[in-house]
Amino acid sequence: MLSNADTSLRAEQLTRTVVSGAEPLTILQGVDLEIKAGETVAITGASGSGKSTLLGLLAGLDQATSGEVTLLGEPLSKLDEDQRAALRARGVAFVFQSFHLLPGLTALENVMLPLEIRGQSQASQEAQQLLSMVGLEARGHHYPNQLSGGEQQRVALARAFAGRPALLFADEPTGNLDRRTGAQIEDLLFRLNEESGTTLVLVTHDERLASRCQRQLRMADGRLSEGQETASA
Amino acid sequence: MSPWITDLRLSLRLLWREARSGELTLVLLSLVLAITVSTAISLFSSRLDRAMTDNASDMLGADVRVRSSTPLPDEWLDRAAALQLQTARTLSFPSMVLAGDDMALAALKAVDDGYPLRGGVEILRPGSEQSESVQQGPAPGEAWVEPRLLALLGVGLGDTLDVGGSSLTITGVITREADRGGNFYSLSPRVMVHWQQLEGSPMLGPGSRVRYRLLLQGDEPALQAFRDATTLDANQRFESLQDGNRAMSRSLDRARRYLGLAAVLAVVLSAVAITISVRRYAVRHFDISALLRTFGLSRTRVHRVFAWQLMVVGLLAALAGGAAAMGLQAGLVAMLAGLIPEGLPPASLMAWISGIAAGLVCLFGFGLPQLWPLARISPLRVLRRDLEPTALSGWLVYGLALMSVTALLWLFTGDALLSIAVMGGGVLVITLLAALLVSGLRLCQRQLRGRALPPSFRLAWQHLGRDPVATSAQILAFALPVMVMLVIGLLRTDLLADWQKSLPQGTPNIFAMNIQGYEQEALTQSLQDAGIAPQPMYAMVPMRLVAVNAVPVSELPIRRDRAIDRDLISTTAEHLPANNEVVEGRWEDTVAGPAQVSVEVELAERLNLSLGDELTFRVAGQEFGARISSLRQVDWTSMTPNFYMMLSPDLLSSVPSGYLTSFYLPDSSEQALTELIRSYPGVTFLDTRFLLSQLQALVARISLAVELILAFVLVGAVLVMLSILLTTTRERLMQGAVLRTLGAARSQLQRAQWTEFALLGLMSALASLVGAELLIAGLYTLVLDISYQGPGLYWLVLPPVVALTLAILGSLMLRPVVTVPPLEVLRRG
Repeated sequence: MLSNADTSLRAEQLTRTVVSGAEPLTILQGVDLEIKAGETVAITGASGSGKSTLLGLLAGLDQATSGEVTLLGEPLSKLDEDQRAALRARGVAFVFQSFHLLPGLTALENVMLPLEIRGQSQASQEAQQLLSMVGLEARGHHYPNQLSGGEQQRVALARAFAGRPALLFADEPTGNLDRRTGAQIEDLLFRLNEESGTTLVLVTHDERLASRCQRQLRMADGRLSEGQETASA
Repeated sequence: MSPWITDLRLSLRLLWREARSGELTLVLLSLVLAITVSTAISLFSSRLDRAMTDNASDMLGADVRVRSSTPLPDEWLDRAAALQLQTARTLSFPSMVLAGDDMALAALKAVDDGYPLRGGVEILRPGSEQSESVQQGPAPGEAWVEPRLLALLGVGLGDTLDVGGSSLTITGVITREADRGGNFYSLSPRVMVHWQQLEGSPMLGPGSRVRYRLLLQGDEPALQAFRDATTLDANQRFESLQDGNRAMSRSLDRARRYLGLAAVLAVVLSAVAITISVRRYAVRHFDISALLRTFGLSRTRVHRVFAWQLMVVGLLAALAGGAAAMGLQAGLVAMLAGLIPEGLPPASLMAWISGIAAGLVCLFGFGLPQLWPLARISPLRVLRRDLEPTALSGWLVYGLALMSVTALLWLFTGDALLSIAVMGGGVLVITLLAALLVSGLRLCQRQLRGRALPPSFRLAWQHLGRDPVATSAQILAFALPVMVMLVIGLLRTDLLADWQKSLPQGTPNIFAMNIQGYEQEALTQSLQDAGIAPQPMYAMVPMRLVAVNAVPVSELPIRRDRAIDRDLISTTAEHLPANNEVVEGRWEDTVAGPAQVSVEVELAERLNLSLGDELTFRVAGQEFGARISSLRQVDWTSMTPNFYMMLSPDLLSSVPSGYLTSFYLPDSSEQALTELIRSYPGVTFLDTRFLLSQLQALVARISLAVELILAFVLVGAVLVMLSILLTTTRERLMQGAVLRTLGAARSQLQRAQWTEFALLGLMSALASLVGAELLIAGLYTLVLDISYQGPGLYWLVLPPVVALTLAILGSLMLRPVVTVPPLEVLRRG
């Protein structure tokens, strides 16, 4: 076993097959992966290459056909759906392309949500602090539909870093934003990540965004291959 | 913080936002409607039940009443005194009273100083125009009489009356006597005197038909102790009101069942609206639920978040519905004023609970299964929007819903057969309609494929024909409320017509009894002379059942039945009276004799009698036997003479009998009745006009009450339609936006919308008409036993009306398709 305290996430011989029509369709073929704590890793690839499927499996949102994912030291195949949810609550956060803020909650309440799910008592103060960190301290009581796309993604970032997650999954975080706003979100993401020392797994088809990560992995035809390492990240 | 509190807070926050966005308005409205209607009916019934029970004691004039044909034993009075029960004694019998040369048969009643105990007596005193309630009977030397007697004898207040040899002054006119009772024999006018006046009088000797009664009032345990300690002889019994006014209570009962049925249908419509709106709510919350799961909320906690929401909605609706129910039931009470006792007691707590619970059953029985899949959603949906949760098993969802509705129906109508018939019939009809619609749509699709159609019609048809199953479901959902309205509306009209029919103009309103054989012809002649159409005369034999198959009834388990030890009014079996139907055996056998009897079927069931049993009767000290050769169903609500026992003619010749007839007396012929009474002093005339007018008023008022409930059913129907329209709005908006981007003109889209909704309306109206025909035909012939009329004219009126309504409603709700820029619609998604 390769297990050691430094490993945040490991996948071994991960395969995902779906039945489409009569034909079984293999989306992932024997993916092996190890990500160390604090590392920033980009997974790139063309549309339909299987990146989002891989992200779902790594985050425990979906179950592999075969193989094993070890997330924060826990082998996911040994956990049921609720135990996986509890594991996510303890140390995993997400940023999505379409922000996924709860429309019924204000910006502040959206940030408080993961803290409250964890039963944190000072949720409101911490959420306010996080909103300040993303520059939205004055917008806490606005609802998502009163915020611009960039502002919504900043709220989503504040929400993702609430409770200092060990691991952050980001799925095309700038995909729905214009170039300038996208660049601002990028900067914010990497700054917050650096400050909190979170492991970052970022899925994108944007090579430039990927290049800001320490490691780039490339998905093609359901297989994962190592790209070059960016020492400067 | 405890996860419970966290979940509640999250739930309330989400709920608050939903409430402001109007997302839950329809759910809440539907639920308020369901709770309002169910609680109002429950409260109304409960108050009526309580009043009936209270009123029953009033009509007994006591909590418990014992009757005896021999003087009341002193030990009864001692026992009652020992148990601290209040008592009063009465005795009554028919007797002639005189005023000068005039005489009349009166129902004489002597009361002691304890009288009245409950219910009271109201009299009109000399010089007063207002009757007053009195707490004691007349003083010795005085008599109180009913107004009829004054007319009969030509006397007034202050005149003297000769009763059993004593001269009494008339000091009061009785306007109300709560414990009057409705027995045929006691319906000559009342003369009430003091107990002393008759005690020990020779009029009470052997052969008199005197009834002594002991009236008791007090605590239930003491009353029970009295009952337990008192053994009764064959000529004594505890009295109840069971054989009271059957026609009246049956009509009221029928009205209540009908109100209950209408109410449940309103509740069912609300339930359908709840199902559709909650389902829409759930679908719109799949993303949120997936997100909560992604953040690590367990399935149980997601359930909890949404269950809290339902609970809060339920609570709010219970409060609002409860308050509205108070108003509605007050409305019902006001509409039925005069028919139901005044000053109804408040409803029981149970009525509140069961009314509100019925509404909540709707929410949880129909809403929860729709909300349940929310927690089963895969968190992967945050990455893949197309993932939908696995729904609960359809059988489970629909089974639960059906069971709750049937239980509700049962609760409200108190009639298991009717409930099962309505539900079973409903399910059958809906399944049938669904099958018809799906195959009809498929057929149309095949026929229309490849044909040149006007563009707006083609657009509309594309939408409808694409998925015949989904379209059928939509048509059925629109058809259901229309069908319910049709069924209720028709049922109302026909039930009322049926009631009216049972009391047509010219229904006999006077009964004449104790007609002697030699008086028959003369009386018939007198009636004809007075311009009154005579009806058949029935022989009338008051006889007692003494043995069944040679075993004395006193040795049978039926000895306690109220039909034992009392006179059963019987007649001869020459002709089967109208409103009688032989349900077992042959009428011809009974008529042919010898020694045959036909028994009323309910009595036969109660007494365990069946065809072939040998009954022994006693009439005027003489016993004879008869074999049961037929059982008859009798419509006791009809105002014609009805009999428990009908004997073969050979038997009747051997026993002494009087005769009974009934006739219709127009209001203008009052004088004729007085003449008849004077000419035939031995004949007892019973005036039922008051009862009849009460029945007619009842029918009129019930129809008003029913219309009030119908208004609620209508609201339910509108809610269902709105919720369906809302459910499909988003999809239609998107489609409209795409079409507009592709260059479709607004007018073209509007025409397509109109066409589509008009087509939907047309098909829904047709489906509802077919469904209503089937349901009503079944209900009428199988359950209610009234002749089937069918929707008739509605076939012409309904389709255009529903089509137009839906087209207007639909295009109003879809205005954004043509008013909002398509890009905005597409962006909102």
